[in-house]
Amino acid sequence: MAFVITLDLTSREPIYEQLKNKIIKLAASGVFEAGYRLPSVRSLAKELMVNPNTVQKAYQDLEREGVIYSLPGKGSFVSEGVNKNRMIQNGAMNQLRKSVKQCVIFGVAKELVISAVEDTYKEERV
Amino acid sequence: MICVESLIKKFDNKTVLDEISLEINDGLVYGLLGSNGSGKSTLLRSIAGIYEPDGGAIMTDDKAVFENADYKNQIFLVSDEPFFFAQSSVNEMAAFYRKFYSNWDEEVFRRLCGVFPLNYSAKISTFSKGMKRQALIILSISTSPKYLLLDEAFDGLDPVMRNVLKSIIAEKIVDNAMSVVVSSHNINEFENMCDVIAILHKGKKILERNQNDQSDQITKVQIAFNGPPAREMFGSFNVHHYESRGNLATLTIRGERDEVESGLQAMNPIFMDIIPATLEEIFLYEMEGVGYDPKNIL
Repeated sequence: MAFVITLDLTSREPIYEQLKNKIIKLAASGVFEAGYRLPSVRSLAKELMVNPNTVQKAYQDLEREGVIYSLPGKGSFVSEGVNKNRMIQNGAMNQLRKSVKQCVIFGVAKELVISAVEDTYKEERV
Repeated sequence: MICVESLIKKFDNKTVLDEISLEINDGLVYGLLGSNGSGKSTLLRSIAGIYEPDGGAIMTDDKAVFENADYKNQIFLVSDEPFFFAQSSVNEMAAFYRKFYSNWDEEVFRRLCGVFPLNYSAKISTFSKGMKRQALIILSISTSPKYLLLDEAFDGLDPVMRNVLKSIIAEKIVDNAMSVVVSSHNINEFENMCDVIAILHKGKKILERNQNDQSDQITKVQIAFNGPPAREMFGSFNVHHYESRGNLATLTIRGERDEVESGLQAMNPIFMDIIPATLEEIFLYEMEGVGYDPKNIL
């Protein structure tokens, strides 16, 4: 099975965080639809050549955050409505605040920031 | 689980292991890091039940491991100097191990033979260093060990073979709750592989770190405010290292990264850069903390 999750082994971001973020992104953007069955810890660890305990930890975190759910003996699946998940939305908002802060520091006019936000929403809404 | 309790090992009058204590839990990868002569190989041979402790104990299921036949059936030491019978081939060595290891897995052996491109009926003595290592690794995994001890095991393997080995180990950890104890003098090898890492120096364990412990993350931060910062401003954080120049402060902070970040953000900095520390950096900080000069150890 070819799998879409790739890791950057040279990054300073810990593997388990990379894994979590990748799965969240893929699930929130709909590449992984609700009910999508994630690879088992065993096969993902094998595929990525990482310690299975690291994969396990990422899955546990994702389950706690409601991104995935597991059925004993069946595996782990992507939850319904990941893009409406409050925790993930908060994470995205934090990213936005950081970016806005950058704009403030770099002296970007407030009107430009606001119109960029509005344009982005317009483009995304098909 | 294997429990090493205050283990002492001496050769003649030289103390090679000096009151080492550690626990190797099932299904985990335990890394031993240390320079040449730090005691890694002696510790692995002791854990393998080859050396008898001169003090302390190594226990599994409440029994000592030294010359414990049941335990030896479950453990395999891939030594830094692979040993094979003179004139023997991999197939002949397999026949030997098959006799002694009751959990020998012929299917795994066949599969690994397909993965590692070796001549299985040729004399091992004609193999290169890396090929000998591959041969021993194939044999070790085929015994379905509960505990796999790898002494500098990744030495002499090319990057492709390293990845193959990591994949196979991942599979065995999930399938058999296999534990791995691996030694190396190269810290970068361990970063993404080990659950727990210990540093040995002159026969002592000077540090141990559980990589899965999120509250134990170390983050490097550069941060600036309007006006010069003071160390006291960061009183609510667990600050390891602090330096400031002008309006800019450079810190290393211990604690869960998300919490550190949101805490710092709340201080309303005009600039902030957050970088997770690498394993090497973490150990450098920690060793300074316990009074060792890292240059002599890593």
